[in-house]
Amino acid sequence: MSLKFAHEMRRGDSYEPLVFVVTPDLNQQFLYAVEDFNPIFIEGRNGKPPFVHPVLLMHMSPRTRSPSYRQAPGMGSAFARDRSTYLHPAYVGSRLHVGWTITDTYEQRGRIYQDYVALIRDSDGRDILRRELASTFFSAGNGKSHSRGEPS
Amino acid sequence: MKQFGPVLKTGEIREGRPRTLTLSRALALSGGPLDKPGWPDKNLHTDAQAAADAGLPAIVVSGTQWEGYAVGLLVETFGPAWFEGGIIDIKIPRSVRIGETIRPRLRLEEITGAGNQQRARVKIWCENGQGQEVLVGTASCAVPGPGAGAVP
Repeated sequence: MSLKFAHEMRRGDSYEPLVFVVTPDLNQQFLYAVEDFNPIFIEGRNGKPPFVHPVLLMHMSPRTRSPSYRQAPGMGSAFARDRSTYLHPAYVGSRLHVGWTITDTYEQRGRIYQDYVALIRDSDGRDILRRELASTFFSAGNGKSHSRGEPS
Repeated sequence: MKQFGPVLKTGEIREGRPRTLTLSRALALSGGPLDKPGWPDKNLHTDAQAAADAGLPAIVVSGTQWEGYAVGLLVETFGPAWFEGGIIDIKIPRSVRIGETIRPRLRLEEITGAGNQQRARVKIWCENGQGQEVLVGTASCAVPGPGAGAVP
C-alpha cells in the first residue's frame, strides 16, 4: 500500500482496501436517498435476503473511501468517465470488500488523469461490481470542475 | 424469466419517475450512516460552508444520486438479470443543485445475439426540469431467449 498523495500514484499502485457490512438500515437509508422502493431491495427472493441497491455499491466504490486515500492540500479530483459492470447480486447482511488499483496515469491539456479499477467482492470471494473510473485532478476553488467530484 | 415491466421494443423509450433532489435525500446519500456520531458528514454534497471552501456557490448533489436513478430504471427494466452482467457506461455533463427535479429515461437501441445469448443495448440518460441532460451513456444486459426485438 502507498502513502503517496492521490495525484502521485502510478500504474499498478493500490489503495488500502475497505471492508464494510450492509445492514438493513444502511440499505434502506440509500433506498430513501434515491426514492427507489422496488421490492427486490426490500423483500428477499428465493429464500435469500434483499439485494443491496446499486447506489450503495456505487457510493462505496470511489477510491476516496480507502483508508489510505490522501489528497494533496489545495487539490481536488473529479470523475471523467465511469463504466460499471454488475457481476453478482450483493445481499443485505453481507460483508463486502472494496479494492482499488491504478491502471493508467497520463496528462492531457496540462491536467493529470488517472484511470483506476474499483472491485467489490463479497465474503465468498465473488466479484459483485467492477468499476472502471477515469479521474482528473484540479486546484481546489475551481468550482467548474466539481460536476462529478470524487466524494470526500 | 419473470417479466418486470411492459415489453419494450426497439426504439421505444421507458421513463422512470421524476424525483426532486431535496436536501434530506442528499444528506441520506452523502452524509454517512445515520447512526454515525456527528452525522451528517460535512462535505461539498452536504454542507454549504464546505461547498464554499471548494469555490462553489452552493451545495452540489453527488452525481451518484442520479446515476442511482438510472441504474434503478435498468433494474426495473431487466430485473435480477441486471446483476448478472449488466454494464453501464456514463458521463455526467452537468451538476445538479438541491431542489432540481431529475428524470431517468432509456431507449432500446438494439438486441444482439440469438437464442440464450441475446443482449439488449440501450441509450440511457437523465434530464433536469429544463430538459438538459445531466447524465448520458449506454447500458447493456443479457435478455432471455425467444422474443428477439423486445426486452421484458
